[in-house]
Amino acid sequence: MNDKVILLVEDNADDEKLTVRALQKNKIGNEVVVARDGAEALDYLFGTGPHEGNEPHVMPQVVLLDLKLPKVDGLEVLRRLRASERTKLLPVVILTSSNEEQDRITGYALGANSYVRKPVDFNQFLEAARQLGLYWLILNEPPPARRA
Amino acid sequence: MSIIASLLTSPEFMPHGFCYLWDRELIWLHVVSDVLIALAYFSIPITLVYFVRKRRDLPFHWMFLMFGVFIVACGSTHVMEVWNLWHADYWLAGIVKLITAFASIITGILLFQLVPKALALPSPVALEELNQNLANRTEALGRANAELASANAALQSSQEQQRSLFEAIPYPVWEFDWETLAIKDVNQAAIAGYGYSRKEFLSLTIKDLRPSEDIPTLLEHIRNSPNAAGITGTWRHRKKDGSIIDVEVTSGVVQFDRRNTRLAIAANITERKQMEEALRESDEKLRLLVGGVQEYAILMLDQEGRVTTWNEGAERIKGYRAEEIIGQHFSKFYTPEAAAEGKPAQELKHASEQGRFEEEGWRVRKDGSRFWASVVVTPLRDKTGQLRGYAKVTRDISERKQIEEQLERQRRELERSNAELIASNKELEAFSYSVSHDLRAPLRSIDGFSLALLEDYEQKLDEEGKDHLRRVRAATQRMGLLIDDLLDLSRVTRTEMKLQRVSLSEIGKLVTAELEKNRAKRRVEFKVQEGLEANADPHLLRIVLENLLGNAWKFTSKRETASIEFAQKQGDNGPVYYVRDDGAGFDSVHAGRLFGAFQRFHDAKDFPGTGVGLATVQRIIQRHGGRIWAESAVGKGATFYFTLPVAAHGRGRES
Repeated sequence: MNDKVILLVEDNADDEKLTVRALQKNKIGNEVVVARDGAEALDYLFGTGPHEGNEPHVMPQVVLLDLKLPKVDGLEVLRRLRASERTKLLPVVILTSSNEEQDRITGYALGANSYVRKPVDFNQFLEAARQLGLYWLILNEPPPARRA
Repeated sequence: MSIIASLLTSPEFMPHGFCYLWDRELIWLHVVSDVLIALAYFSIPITLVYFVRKRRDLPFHWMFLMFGVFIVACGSTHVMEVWNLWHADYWLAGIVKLITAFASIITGILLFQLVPKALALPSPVALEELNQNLANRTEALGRANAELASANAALQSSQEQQRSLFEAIPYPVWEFDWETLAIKDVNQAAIAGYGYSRKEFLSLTIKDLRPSEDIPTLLEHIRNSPNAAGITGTWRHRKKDGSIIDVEVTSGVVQFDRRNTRLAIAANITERKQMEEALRESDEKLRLLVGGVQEYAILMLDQEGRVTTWNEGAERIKGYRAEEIIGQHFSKFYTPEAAAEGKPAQELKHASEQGRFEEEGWRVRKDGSRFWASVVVTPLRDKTGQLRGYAKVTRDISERKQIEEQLERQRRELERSNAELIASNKELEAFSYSVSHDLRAPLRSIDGFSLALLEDYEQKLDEEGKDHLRRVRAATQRMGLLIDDLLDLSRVTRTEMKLQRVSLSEIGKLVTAELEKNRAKRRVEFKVQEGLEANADPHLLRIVLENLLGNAWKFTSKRETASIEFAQKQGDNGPVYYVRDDGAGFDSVHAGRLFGAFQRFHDAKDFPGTGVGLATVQRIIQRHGGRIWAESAVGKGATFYFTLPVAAHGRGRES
């Protein structure tokens, strides 16, 4: 259970706090790694930049990816993830407040596994987090781990 | 008695033979002779009778019969002679002789009478002569006959020729008596031209060919020109069917056989007259047209380019009066520079070679001022193709030029504002996008942390504190809804409409099904009319029905049962669709504000809502070119009507 890592890519501190809180409240007691922007997310996953030489042994069970990110935006992160062998199969859930049809289309087109809209109502947000956690960490079978 | 007896018997007498002493030779001589004579005598009458019978037409045939009788009688005397040789019946012989004597005498007398007549009979020679004469005469007669026949034939053919000439004249011709005016003869053309048959014609006088009102003039004319020949006049004639034609009549005097007749040839000039009239009219019209046109200078030039005609329009545009400009060269109208370049002559040349010269350029008025003109020069040729001159039409288009320039400016303006609009639309899109992200995020924070406070610090907060936080949360949620609705409204304005034939009934049914599924806590009767169709964007129409039916649902929520109807009725310009509910209704005094954004007539506690829904609906309907309005009364429910024009309106693309 403790193996399971969730990578949360979110630039908004409030949202980050709330999401973490939501995940914890639902006793999805896993490690939540937070990346503040797209570049950080990529560095973490590929073991580059500040994480040089520090590639994760275990890929995250799921990446919760916000779209509007500084430095490298969400869709670009997704694109790069899908472009690399290492992260091609990584489950990515786009978690964003945007309901723009275009975002949805591009997200799926680029290979996102899921698209969830952040509800404004926090109760609903909690519920969404719970369901996400349950599904992706417990129910869903992740791709086989690759020990590079 | 005794005579007869003695006749029969006369024994006392001696037969003649005794006289001859019964000389055998002598007796035989007499016997033979008399027998021969008798035979001969008897044969003659037989011949005669035969002859007469054969030629019954013989003149004096009775004479021949007489002769026959006489000869028979003679013969019989000779027979008696022979008889008397042996029988002395001399009395018998004597009687026979007497009879013969009578016959002879009568014959002689008759013959005597006949002689002159017989003499009168021409002799064979004479007859022959006569015959010959006759033959000659006959021959001569025959020749004369032949000549006559050929002369007749010649006459006949000449007559026929005359006749056919007469008939062949393509103009109606008739011959009429000068005194009685009766028509004596007509030709085919007259029959065809006037409708009378030949017989009818020949029963008419020339008066009958005139309309009645013209007859006095005719009679006077006749009186005044008794012997004039070859005169021509224009008259009106009346055909059999009563129609009147104009004719040109030439008449001539006919001298023939002391008859006073005239010949009249009538040429139907009705058509010609009509054409002349039409030509006159069209001439007149042309003059009026050219003269009256004020907008265009229409003038004619001769081959060298000198002005030959001028119209009012030319005077108005160029400033010259007709008398001052006719005869002048048209290069006067050009600017000095153009004239120096030889433009006028070039243009004439161009016109005559290409058939037309057209351009827009500067021209000069009498007072020296310039104006922008549209000029067309066309060459004028006569029937043989010879150049006779030119026609020039000039129009002062300075005004038009101004308008054109203005239009151009306006167009550029329009383009610019279009570009601006497109740019502003793009901005709007970006704005909406950022709204959907950036405006929401803080809301989430506010709501989330308020909840966190409520949960984590439950003990530390009093009821008042909790209440505050709850209100904060409610407000943020409300704001979220508002943002969503506003986004919808802006999207509705922005997106391209895809017009197609949509079944409103289908959409209506889908929406009502959704409503029932989501909140089926009370009994609501939905009535969606079948067959509602319109030309619209299906997605946008769905939003309309979601809003209208959703509203109907919402505002009937306070009742246990509700009835919501979506149907159409016939309006002035087409179908009018409506959504009717029997819910809370609203005071129609406020109907004007109904579709304004954020306008609410009810408390959010009673009926939730942002007030943007109807504004969105109105925007959609307007984009389709339709109208929306509502009727209601408090407590009596509400009906929302809208129209969707049949023809495609708005900035949509027909798909």
